[in-house]
Amino acid sequence: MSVQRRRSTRRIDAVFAISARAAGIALLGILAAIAIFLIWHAIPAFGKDQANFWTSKEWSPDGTHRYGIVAIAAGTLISSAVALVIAVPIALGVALFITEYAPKRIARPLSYVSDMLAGIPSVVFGLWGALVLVKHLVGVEKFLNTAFGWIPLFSAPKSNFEAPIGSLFATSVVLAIMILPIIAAISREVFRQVDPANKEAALALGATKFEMVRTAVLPPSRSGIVAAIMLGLGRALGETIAVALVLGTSFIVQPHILQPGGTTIAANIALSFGEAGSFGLPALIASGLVLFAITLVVNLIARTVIYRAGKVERAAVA
Amino acid sequence: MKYTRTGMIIGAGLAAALAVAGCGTNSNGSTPSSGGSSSSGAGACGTGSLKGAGSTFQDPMEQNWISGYASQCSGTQVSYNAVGSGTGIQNFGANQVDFAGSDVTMKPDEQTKANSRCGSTALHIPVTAGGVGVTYNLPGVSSLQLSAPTLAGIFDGKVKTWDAQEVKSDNPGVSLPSTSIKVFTRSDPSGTTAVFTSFLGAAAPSDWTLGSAKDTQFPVGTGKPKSNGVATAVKGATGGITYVEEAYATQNNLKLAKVKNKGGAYVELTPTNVSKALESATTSGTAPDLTQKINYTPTDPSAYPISTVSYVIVCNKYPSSFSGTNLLKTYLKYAVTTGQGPAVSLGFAPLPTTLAQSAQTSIAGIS
Repeated sequence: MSVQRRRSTRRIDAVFAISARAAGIALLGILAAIAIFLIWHAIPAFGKDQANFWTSKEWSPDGTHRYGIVAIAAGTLISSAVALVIAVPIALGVALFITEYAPKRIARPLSYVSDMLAGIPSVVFGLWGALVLVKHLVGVEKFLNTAFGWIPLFSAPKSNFEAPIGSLFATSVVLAIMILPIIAAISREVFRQVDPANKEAALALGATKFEMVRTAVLPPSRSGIVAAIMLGLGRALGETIAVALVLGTSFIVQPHILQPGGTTIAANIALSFGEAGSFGLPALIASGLVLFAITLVVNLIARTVIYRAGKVERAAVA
Repeated sequence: MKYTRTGMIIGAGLAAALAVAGCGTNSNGSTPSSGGSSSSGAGACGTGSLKGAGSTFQDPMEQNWISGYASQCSGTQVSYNAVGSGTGIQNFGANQVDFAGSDVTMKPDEQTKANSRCGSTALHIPVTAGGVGVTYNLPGVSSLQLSAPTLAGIFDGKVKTWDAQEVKSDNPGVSLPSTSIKVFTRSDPSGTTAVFTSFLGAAAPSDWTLGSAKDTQFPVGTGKPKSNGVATAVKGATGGITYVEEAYATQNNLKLAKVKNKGGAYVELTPTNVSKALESATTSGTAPDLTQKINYTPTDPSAYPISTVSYVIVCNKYPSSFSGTNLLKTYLKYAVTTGQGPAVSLGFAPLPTTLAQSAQTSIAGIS
């Protein structure tokens, strides 16, 4: 009996090991398949281009056959960066409040709500953003312009605020709301992993609650926080429909975030795919390849940052 | 295949009955189907199922035809998927659909692909028509007239305010506000953009130098997705202007400007005026292909100049593996005859009579 049992568990063990390995290999295979697909179908786009793909701001593949990545890549990076600037402090605040400050009867419902927010489909965010939020943000944008208009980032002509056209800022706010729950949920779990002994030690040494958070909670959570931010950034970079609905697009590099203009790679693919012709399709896939590369590079940078930070810490301890 | 055998039998019976009762009135002179391999309804109803995809512009008409055709030919299944003209043409070339809907004619490479899929020439057959309206949001200005050079100036950024001299001289006696003009364009490539820019290029060649295509880039204004996106944007912005199909302007209670044609008349966008303008279009394809060369500079005092047709793309001779030829022919025949009736109520214009007749002849020749 026991021998038989051992044999069967051993078999289960082997099956499990094989399936786990298969899952791992499948993941790599899928990634490779996507990369190969993108490169294969993108290559014709570079040859057909009447402008320089890497330096042109235009996007008229089926019309003038002139198209380039600059405007859409810039819009992607700017909107995602602004979204992170807005979302990260709030998300970390929410996570810290839930784990360190809130009484249990508030903390639990609050975590549920923030998790629920993460589950709302992006098209709902997009519709709400386009139909409701954009209108109400005009006031905020006007304030930012009057208070900080001397910074080029916030400069805008007066006529900009006559109608809710859908600025990069408004788009970033919608993106920020979308990525906030992801960052909050992951950082919350990261903060929960912190050894309570460390926190108690900090408090015992006379640290205030803020000092305790700063010295005992945040440092060991650093890599987890970066991972959370990266996941949020990934969603912001790739967000399609919310951007397409909210942003007033144009193929320019728009450094003034209170004005409409610019567009993102993902939104442009979604909007243009249906009508793309024999030039448009490879051009869109080439832009998808660039988005793929941007995501990989951003992730690599994040990994390096975490690794370096860890090294410094380890050195400091030693 | 979703239809059942009993359904087919019932369908065939009904088809035979209706061929006499319902559809008989529309068979004005066209030859009965030649490729009638199926034993059922030789005249007005086919059997089986048919799949189309493409133009979102003609989608409301297609859906109307599908339900109208189904009500007189039960047991048949026609579907039309509004995926956009570009995708529709690609699907047709890849043999994924039986016909495509398109607002523009195929490019040479697309035509080659479609021809090889058909094993014969792929044809453009006009099935509906419509005008592109210029709609604006200016409280207090109930009627606005615009000429092609003024429109070109507005959409390339030279004309910036509503009281600019160009707008004023188009509208003598109208008091115009000094509001800045907020231009909205399509953020997705669109047949509507192609038609509008083709009109600008043809009617104001020295003012419009940006070319005409589905993805023409405007140096001013902001892009919004789809017809509904630009229409709602104009609705929300005082001083806004865009080009859009009539139906979307009406839905949003927006006013349409009268557009000056080559004859010097400022013409309102109405189905009659669109049909009038299309009478001066010429067929540039060789029959049975009915590719139209649209005349964007009509001179008739009631011709609305931004008018165009929308096509279906079909094979002149389908491969023998395709069993739905009869269904396709009867469906398309319904579309260009009885099916033109509801055009006006859906914001479209009926095909001019002569064009509708040529379309019937081309459809009858499909095998």
